[in-house]
Amino acid sequence: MTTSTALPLAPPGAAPRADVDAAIRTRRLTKAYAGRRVVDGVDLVVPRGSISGFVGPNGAGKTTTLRMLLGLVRPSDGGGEVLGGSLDHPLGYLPRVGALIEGPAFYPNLSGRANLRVLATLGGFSRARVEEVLEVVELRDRGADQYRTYSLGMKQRLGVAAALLPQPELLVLDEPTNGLDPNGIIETRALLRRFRDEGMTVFVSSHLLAELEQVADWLVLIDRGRLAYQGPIGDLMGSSRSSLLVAGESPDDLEVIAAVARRLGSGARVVDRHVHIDDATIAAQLNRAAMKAGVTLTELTVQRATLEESFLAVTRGEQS
Amino acid sequence: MTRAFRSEWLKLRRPGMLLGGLGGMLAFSVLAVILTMARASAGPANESVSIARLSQPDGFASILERGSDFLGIFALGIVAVATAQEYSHGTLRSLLVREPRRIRLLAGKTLANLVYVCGSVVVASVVALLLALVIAPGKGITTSGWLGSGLGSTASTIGNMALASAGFGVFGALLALVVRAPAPAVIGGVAWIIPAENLLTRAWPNVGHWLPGQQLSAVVAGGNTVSGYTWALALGLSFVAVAAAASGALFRVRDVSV
Repeated sequence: MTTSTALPLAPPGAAPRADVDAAIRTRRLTKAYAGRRVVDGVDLVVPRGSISGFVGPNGAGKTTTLRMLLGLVRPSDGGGEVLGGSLDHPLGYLPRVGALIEGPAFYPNLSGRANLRVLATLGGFSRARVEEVLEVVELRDRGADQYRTYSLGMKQRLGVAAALLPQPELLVLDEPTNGLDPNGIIETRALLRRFRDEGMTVFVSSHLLAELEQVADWLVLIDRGRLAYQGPIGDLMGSSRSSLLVAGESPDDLEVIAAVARRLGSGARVVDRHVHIDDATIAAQLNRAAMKAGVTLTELTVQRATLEESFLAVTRGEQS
Repeated sequence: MTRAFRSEWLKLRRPGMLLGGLGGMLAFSVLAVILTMARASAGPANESVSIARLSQPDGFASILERGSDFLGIFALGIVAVATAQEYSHGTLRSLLVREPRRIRLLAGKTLANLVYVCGSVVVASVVALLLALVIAPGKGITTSGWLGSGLGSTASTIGNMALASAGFGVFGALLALVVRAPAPAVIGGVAWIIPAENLLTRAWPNVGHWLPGQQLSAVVAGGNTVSGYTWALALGLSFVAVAAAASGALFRVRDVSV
């Protein structure tokens, strides 16, 4: 990642930060259909050389945003740049962009290799490049088979291969792990890291938040067409409230610990052999108060919020 | 545009497409030859399906004209399906990322489809000619004129058929861009050419003089009772130009949301 600049909890409509070396930067990007704004004044920043995750609930406007970035849909208002080229002139940047949008789409009766050749011919890439990308996604052995005979995972990999044809500076992937088995997901994760390490910017939309948590450096979160958060992924998770997991010497201690925590102003509940305490900032006070109450804590663990919890917190408007 | 043409051509040359497109046109042409010759009987040369008529130098050209309407419908279907499938398969997204100049993409793809259609018309006609030359002697039809003074007439008819088929193909592309799905595009095109135009012409005979399908049919026939050749060619090409312009305008401005 080239930058650690955080843009936490950017309010919708706020001007995008100018101090980030951005591969994608939009200004008040808006798309309306029949008066309904499906993307509403989004100021998006995707740092160059990062793996940036793009998340949001279904219908939040992710795909429409990606389509605008790729010149498939015209913005109703606003604009921006991709790789320094204006959204108004996609020809200025699309030759340096690879994309897999809304799942892989190919001609079912053509082989995987022939499908890639159709795209390579259109983009002016060599046949050797087709073989290279087939090799990257490990489909060279099945390249002669008809696309319709591919498994969902193979189709996804062919989609990634098509996106790699132009040796892109920016790779836009929409749900690239859809339908992949655990091995496939791990391989995709490794591929994305490899692309990032080779200097590529990867902008990946996914509903598998645990996956993004492992691979993304930067996160863009939109909700109901508006930007809800963008910045380093760690900042979002760090800004979410952490909780405590506490255990005592005997099961009888658990209710005492919970009562102490509640006296200190935190929510607490006993689950199995632990007490879950909502507010991690009371850890030291809790330890002292429990000692005074005659309880020795045998376990005191701070639990950081997962990306999923942070995501829910933002989309439910729980964060300030 | 060259890259768009070559890219589309990669799809068109696959065996399934050859079988479905060229094979279909071949089947219609062969059927036209077999049925026409089977019906041929003794009669004056002014009867359309008589041995005397078919023995004239332009006898084979008259056989070709009998199957030309079906070739036109086939051409419309081929181009409509090839265009609309880019929407139904979702492949248009990938194509536009690789070639964002929409008019070039559409022009290259459509041109490749039209070349394929015209090539198929020529190949189907040549195969039909060879078949007719084999069958004709058994029916007592003289074919010496076909390859002599009638060769120009045959070539002209084949050229007009290719031209008309290309015109039908452009209409097919427009329908595909409007409805963005193969089946409705083909059904809409066929419904217009066969029942709709025929009903309109029967109800108001003069209307046929202004209908696009009727003009393209008249072009194939080198002029007919509906329209003279020059009128049919001029009006038919005008319709094709308007359809091409409408296709380009629609494709250029419309969001790709499928």
